[in-house]
Amino acid sequence: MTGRPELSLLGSFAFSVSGQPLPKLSAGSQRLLALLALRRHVMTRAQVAGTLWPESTDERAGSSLRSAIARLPGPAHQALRLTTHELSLDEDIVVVDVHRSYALAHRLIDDDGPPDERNVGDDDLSALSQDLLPGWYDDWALIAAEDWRQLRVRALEALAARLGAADRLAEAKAAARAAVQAEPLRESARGALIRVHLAEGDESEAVAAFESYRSLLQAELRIEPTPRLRQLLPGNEPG
Amino acid sequence: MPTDRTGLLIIRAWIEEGSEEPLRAQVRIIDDVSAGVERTQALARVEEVVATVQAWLADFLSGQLPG
Repeated sequence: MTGRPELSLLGSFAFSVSGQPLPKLSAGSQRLLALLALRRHVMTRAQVAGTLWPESTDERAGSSLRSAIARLPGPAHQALRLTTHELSLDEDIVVVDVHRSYALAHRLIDDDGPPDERNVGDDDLSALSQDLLPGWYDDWALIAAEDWRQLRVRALEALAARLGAADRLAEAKAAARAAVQAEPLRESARGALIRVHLAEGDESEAVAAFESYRSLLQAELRIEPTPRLRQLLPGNEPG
Repeated sequence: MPTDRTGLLIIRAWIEEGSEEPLRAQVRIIDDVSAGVERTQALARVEEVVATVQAWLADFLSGQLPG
């Protein structure tokens, strides 16, 4: 049985069919697929060419775009909707990993209540732990990567809180640690981890997590954690 | 001396409410995007961020950055 082609942008670029990655696509072809996947709407050929080759003349950028399209292997070419003037990615044909992860992140942030086992699995935690197209320095890719980073850290914090509330503490700790790893200086991520340790009844680990963060802030920024974070620790509750 | 090198300096800033110095700035520096080597710096004061940007641009202009 032939599965739907899958375009992966998290961790690194890959285009797979039935789980088998296609041989390495040209840089132009990769950037074309990634741009269309991230924009998620119809773009004119001129817009695509100008975005992907901003320092080229219109004529040369258009030529580069035609070349990138022509060099796509069959399954990737079939994933495009092409007209004379416009193109887009056909999401009825190709599955994009970051689209699923965006939906998961928004669901975690926006929904209330305990996490549904069917909605959150190990693969989801893995997806939320990965950066978008690391090492890509095109303007459009950098902006998308920063947007995803912010969203995924908020989602990991929300996931940790909801798993903790459902007494799924090992998973909650994994989510909180992933948030800390993504943004070591972000206090809310540290708070999420401290809360999980306290939910486990492990005060010493909670204190260790606080002190680790305090040391990092001192070394990097020469500042102290906020009173709000310290007040999470037993004996420091607000008076 | 290379003349077509492109460098990037990206500042991601946020506010930690409740802190006496609430600014957080994570500065990502890529001296040459074709090499792709990144370094990061965390800062909490506006003047430090400004000084970092100025120093990087000055080094970039003089071609002294590794790359």
